[in-house]
Formats: sequence, structure tokens, C-alpha cells
Amino acid sequence: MEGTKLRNIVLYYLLYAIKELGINLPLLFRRITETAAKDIEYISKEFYGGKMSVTDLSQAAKDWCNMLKQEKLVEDISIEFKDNEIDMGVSGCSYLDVAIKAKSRGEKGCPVCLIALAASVAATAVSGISFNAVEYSTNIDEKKCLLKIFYTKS
Amino acid sequence: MPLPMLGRKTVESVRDQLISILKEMESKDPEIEGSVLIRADGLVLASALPADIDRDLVAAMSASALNVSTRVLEELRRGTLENVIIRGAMGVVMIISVAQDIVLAAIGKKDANLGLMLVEMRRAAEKLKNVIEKI
Repeated sequence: MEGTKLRNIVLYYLLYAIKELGINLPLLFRRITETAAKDIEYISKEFYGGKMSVTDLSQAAKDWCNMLKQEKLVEDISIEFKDNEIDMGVSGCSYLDVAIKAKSRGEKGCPVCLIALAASVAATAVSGISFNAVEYSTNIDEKKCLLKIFYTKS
Repeated sequence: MPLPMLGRKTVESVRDQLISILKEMESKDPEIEGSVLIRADGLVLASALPADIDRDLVAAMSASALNVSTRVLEELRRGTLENVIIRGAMGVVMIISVAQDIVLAAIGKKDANLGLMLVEMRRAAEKLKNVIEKI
């Protein structure tokens, strides 16, 4: 998509500046998750015909994966459920330029994984589920990312 | 880093111990009106804040204040952060480090004795650290 690379590079600079100013990016991640999860009705209506599950975690995660593909944010996603953990394999993420830019400056990868963010919003929007933490890594050559979303049941 | 995966009863028991330490601190220094134990990413580990306060938001802001203060000290080469004190017209907020990535924030009355508040917070921090290290 035209302008995507420029959008991604600007996004990288934005996140870099936030981090440089001292804001912990996992803190930013958690706050966005909490804010977006409260707005789940709007997101579901606007991007998924109001059919997004907020009662069943596995269905909610699948709905979000479908939405991410529909919106062309990723080419493909595989998903696996473990105890208190959702593992995702992402191919062709549209934010790959962010990871490339970050790695070119000696960083590990994307400052914040926006796909993991979407998945943690999906989990947090389900009643009785609290987001715990996230881990992710990118293989730029293969255009693949591995994400782990950890959550707790209350 | 994710929290260790504990059973629900264990989580509740640990949280009860942490809250009891926070309440003990507040009873020893009545100028402390509320407190919260937070992970650096804003996760609330235990809260003894008044009911009308949005604890998640306060946790996120306290963690943020600590993050930014740490960064300022780093940039100005002033060593590791010991505490953050924010004084307002109606009271004070004090934030101290408990362990790596874990902080304790307390709100105090307008004329709170900051030295006493800090002493009680440090005592509580030691106890909180002992509980967390056993997990």
C-alpha cells in the first residue's frame, strides 16, 4: 500500500521518542490495551460487523486474527492456545519496516508489536481475563514473527 | 517478563499478604492516605488506595513518573533513582523502588512529614520485597 513504509518509519520515530523520554514501552502497551479493551464495542462494530466475541477467549482471538487479515495488517496468522498463553505465528506483517528500521539502529526489533497489542486487547476484552505480559521476535529475512501473549484468569 | 503462573488461591494469598503490609504501613503513619504496589509496566500487584481513585490509571501514572525520573537521572548522570516526591497544594505523592521493576507509591496528607513517610515506606518495601522474592 502506498505510504505504508513512510507511515511505519514515522511510527518508529514516534515510539523511539516516547522511549527516549523515559516512558517504559510495556507500560504504554498495557495502557493502550486497557483503553482499547474498554472500547471493544466500537472496534467490533467498525471493523467486524459487531460480531466479535467478548465471552470466549479462543473465539475472540480467532475473530481478531480474521480482522487483522481482513484489514491487511498481516498476510497470515497461526494461533495456538496453551495454559495462560496464546502463541501466534505471523507472516507478512505490514509493520515489518518498523522492525527493519529498529534493527538497523541496533535494537532487537519493533519497539512495540502492534499485532501483539491487538491480541492482548482481544484477550483483555474477554470477561475474567487480565493481560499479563507479551514477548515477541522477528525474523526479517523470512518476514515472520513469533508472539507470546501471557494472561491470567481471575 | 510475565508473572509466574500461580494457582488462583496462591495469587490471592500473596496479594492478601502484600495488601496487609500496605495497610500496616498506613496504620503506622496515619499521614499516608493510600498506597499501591506496581510493576514497572503499570500492572497493579496490590492496592490499598481509597475506593474513589482509578487504581489502574494511578498505577500507570506512578510507573510513568518513575520511568521518566529514572531517565532524567541517567541522562544527567545522577546515579540510580531512590525516590520521587511530587508535592501538590492538597498533598504529596511519594514513589520508591521496592525491587527491580517493582515500585511502591503512597499518597500523603498536605502537611505530611516526608521523612517519616519515607521511613515507613522503606520498612514496608523490605517486607514487600521478601514476600515477592518467595514467589
